[in-house]
Amino acid sequence: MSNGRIGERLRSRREFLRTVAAASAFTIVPRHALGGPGYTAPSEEITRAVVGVGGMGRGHLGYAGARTVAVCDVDAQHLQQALDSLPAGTRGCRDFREVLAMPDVDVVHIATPPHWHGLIAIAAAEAGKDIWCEKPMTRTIGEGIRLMEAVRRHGRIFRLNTWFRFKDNFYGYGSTVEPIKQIVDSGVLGWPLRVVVGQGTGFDFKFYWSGRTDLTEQPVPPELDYDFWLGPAPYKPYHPHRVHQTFRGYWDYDGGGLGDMGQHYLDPVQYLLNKDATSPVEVEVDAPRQHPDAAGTWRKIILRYADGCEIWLDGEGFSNGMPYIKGPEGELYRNLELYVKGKRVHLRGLPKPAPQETDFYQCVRTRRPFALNERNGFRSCTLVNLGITAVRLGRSLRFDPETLTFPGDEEANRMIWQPMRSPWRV
Amino acid sequence: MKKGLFILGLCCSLAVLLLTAGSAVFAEESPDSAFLGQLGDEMAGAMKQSPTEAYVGELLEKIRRLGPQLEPDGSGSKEDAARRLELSAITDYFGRPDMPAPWREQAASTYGEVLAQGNLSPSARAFLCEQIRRIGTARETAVLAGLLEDPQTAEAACMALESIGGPEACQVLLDALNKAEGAPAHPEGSSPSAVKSIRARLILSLGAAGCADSVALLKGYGNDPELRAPARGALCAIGDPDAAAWCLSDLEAAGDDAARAAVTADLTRLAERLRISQPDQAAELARKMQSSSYGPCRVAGALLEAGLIESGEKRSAWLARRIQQPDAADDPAMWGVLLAAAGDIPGDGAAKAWADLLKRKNTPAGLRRAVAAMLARRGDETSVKAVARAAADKDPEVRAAAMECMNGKAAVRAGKSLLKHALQSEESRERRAAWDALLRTGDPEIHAMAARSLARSNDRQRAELLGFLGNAGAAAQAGAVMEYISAPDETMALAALKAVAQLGDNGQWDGVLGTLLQDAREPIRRAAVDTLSAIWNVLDDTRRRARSRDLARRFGEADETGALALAPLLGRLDSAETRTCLLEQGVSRQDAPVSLRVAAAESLGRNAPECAAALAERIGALPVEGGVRGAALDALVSMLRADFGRAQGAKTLGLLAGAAGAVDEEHRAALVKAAGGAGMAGLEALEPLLDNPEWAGAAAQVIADMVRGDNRRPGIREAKALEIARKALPLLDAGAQAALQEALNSPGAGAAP
Repeated sequence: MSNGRIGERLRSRREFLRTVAAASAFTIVPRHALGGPGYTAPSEEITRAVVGVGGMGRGHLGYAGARTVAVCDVDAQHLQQALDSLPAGTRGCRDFREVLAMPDVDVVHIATPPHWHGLIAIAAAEAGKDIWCEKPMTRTIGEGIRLMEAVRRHGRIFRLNTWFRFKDNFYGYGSTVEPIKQIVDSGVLGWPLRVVVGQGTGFDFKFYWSGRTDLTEQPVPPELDYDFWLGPAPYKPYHPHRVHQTFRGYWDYDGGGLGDMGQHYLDPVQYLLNKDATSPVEVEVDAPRQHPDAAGTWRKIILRYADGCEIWLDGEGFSNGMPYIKGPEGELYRNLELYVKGKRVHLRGLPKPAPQETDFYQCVRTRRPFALNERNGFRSCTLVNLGITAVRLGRSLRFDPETLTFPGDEEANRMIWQPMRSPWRV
Repeated sequence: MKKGLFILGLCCSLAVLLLTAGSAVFAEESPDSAFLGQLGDEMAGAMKQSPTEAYVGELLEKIRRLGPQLEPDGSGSKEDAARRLELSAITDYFGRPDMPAPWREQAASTYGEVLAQGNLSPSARAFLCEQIRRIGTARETAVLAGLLEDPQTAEAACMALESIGGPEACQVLLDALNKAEGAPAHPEGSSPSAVKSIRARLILSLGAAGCADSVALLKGYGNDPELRAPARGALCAIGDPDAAAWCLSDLEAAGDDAARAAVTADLTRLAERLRISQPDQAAELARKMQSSSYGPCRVAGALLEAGLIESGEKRSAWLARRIQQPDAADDPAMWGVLLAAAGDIPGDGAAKAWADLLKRKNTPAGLRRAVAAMLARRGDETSVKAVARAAADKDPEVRAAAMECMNGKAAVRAGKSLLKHALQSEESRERRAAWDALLRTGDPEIHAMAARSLARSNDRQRAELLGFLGNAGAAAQAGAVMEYISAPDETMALAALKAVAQLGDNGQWDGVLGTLLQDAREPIRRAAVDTLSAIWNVLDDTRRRARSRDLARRFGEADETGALALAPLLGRLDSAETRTCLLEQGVSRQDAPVSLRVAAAESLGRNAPECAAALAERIGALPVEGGVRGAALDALVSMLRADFGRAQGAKTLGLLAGAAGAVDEEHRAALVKAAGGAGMAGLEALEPLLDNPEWAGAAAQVIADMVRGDNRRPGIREAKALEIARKALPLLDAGAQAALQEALNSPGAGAAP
């Protein structure tokens, strides 16, 4: 990493950002002010690097609004496939730290398995990069805390790669989240509310992301830097089922289907319930005992907030026929079917919810926090991590949303800060 | 490729079965999954048992028995998987907060005893270390000490010691550090990226464990180029005030931003420790950090200093002063952080300093805009007032920032001003921001104000007002909106109809129906159909029945023009009465005009798959001339494609096949292809067609495509599918026969799911 080059780039980028922040709350500096008509000044264009281009990362290469200038992967084949799909001149490397040292990279996209998300995001923030991170945000609550601190300390713009709180049809529910939010905010359902997330309400927890317990050691393929792939995770002998897609089935790297899909499903719920700044105080679980290495299935998880709101996760199919949201005054089923005091109701004239910043690259320019940032993203990731912790320990838990600890529960607290294989540390 | 896809299809089917099974199945690909799932359920039940002396003794005995049997990682054995599952369940049982401490300690000690036995593999010992990490106490530090010298177990032992913490763990780590002589932390070939020496690992652990007694030793590494940084980090994690000077010196000497960032992270950790134990020192450190030439260090220092101010109002005022200092003006990261910190402090008192900043004319323009955006996200009265004022600011950027970010309360307060800018601003983005803000009000007064503005607005304004009223669902203003649904200007009329679709109800039905019947403009008629469909969705059953009857009557009585106008609507509404009317009075009526019969068939095809069988029954009686039968067949293709199940695909195809000569070759091909998209249901519907000379060839081809690997659809039941495929085989041409035969002969074909 060249100090001179980084310093120079940071100064010029900083200058640009100062100009942008001073000049505009919602527009970028006009093209003509930078370089004349017809000239796209380089500083207008946002550049990105994608770390992890084996699966989800390939999709990041094509996101509109920025230009990919570098890609990184510990698997040489994945790296080459990505480079083959990009214009000549795109740089490739196998160590994410090289990407962070590139002065011309504005944004780092993190699409590695979750056990790397916290480390790379923190390092990216410290290197002055803005961050677009796959979900789940972090594998543990502790990493999430450190990530929030780092992003804040370095004044970075962070976004999580889930978006249902502000756009797109919400999986099998049958509408976008906005009209649901309008209904909840109107108060017709009463309070507190119970939200049920499962097959019956349109959500599938993908239990096929389960781990195997019969893995025998296999030779590491030559294209894969397995030690680096493991990174902070405990050393376990190589088997292809541990890596590349199926890593989702192992607690060391992810959390099964709950880890994979949980934040997609639960972040909008957190938004609907206005719980972006807090967490549940209790978690109940009904699950078989889990293997310490391989994630398995579970039957039911209940996350309960201090005000009585609950989120029920259905892993066995009990949610068929249940309302998606139930309150003391009414029920909201799939496809916005609303019943208030037993009668079908169509609500009109409801105010739109508070605005959200939904263009990440615009947030990079204006420095306004993105709709799903490190703070509310931490909270919805905590929903997932609370569920995973309860499933792994096989019991119910109490949680303090202020101190972010499990009061009087030392064993659970030791799951918040899980040690990392050296030299990695948050 | 075909075999791979065969297996993929099998796995998809399995996944579907697993999801719907409702049982605790463990892992779809593991051969041990059923066994381990059952064991998992048994263990879950067992672990609910209340602890008793006898039961605890039983579990301790299990640890003693199972622990030594642990196999190395990667053995893959079912027995070892079960062993690990049981042991971790036992650990968690003893880890419960209601477990009496002596019993928990006994369990941890028992793990320690097993660990002390010398005949376990390194990975087995790592597993036991992990159990101790979760429930261990000071009593286990001695046995962990024994593992620190072995590079293969040092990592796991360090992790356990870090979690246990306390003076005993610290002493063990210290003793080990004193003993270590630069041995590698990990065996060669297993972890090449690990730290170069075990000393660095131990130093990291001393910091993580908070070992205050190690401070003197750690300070001794100041001149060691490899160990200075980890030692510094450990001292900061412990909270030694002397580490501050070390850090600040390293910060200035750092050669690149990565090194500066690492020091800043350490400084932040130190300051957080000092905040609790020595707040004055923390404040001093925070100030020193803010003098650094490294931006993120200044930002961290500012946040720390702010965090030391207890009163929210005073903290907010401090932040407002801080943001105006010269170094902040030059640092957008500092702005963002200070504003975010201010935004987090609730209450009117906290907003005051910022509202004042926004009001002052000498506040730099860029700062005013950023402050407007921050205040707009708050909910207190001071912020709401300030933002409402900002929505009328002379600076368009300040106005825009306020409008884009303001919540509903501020928008209500600023309603008049917002409406003015929404209508009069030359800048489309500002108009959009104003309309969006108005949509957050849900205020009937604002809706009324907007409706009153319709009459005196120009075309562009009127279209935007109609759009607003519709998006706002301003039902009380329906009357005002309805005035425009037949406007001479087509854009206006369309905007009005769209708005009525969003806010209308039964009261607007007749008016819109009138437009449908009387307006000659095709786009207006289409929009009227959309609007009536939208209104239909909010009608109760009684009103729906009444409207259905009325529409059916009108359709029967209408002339060709009127009936043509009504046809798209009758098919669109979810009403058996209107759809039956369309079928009988439209498609099937012999004396109906050809254009009407075609339009009726099209309407059913787009909207009503459940009418497929009824339409198929009539197909033979429909004339070919004029395209009536063709339109009906096109409709049937659409219905089968859209929803084979609702279209009763098997019955419909059967009826069509029974009408010999009624379906031309092109439509036969399209109909069987539609069945091809319907999975097993489609396959089973095609089977009888193999016995029909007219249909057999097309059906056989589609069956072959469905069953061959590259077109396999999920959910195809193998045995039945292959049986049907074998029946189709002789009906194919040579090339297709060969391809299908290959698929039928492939290994695994015919295996039951």
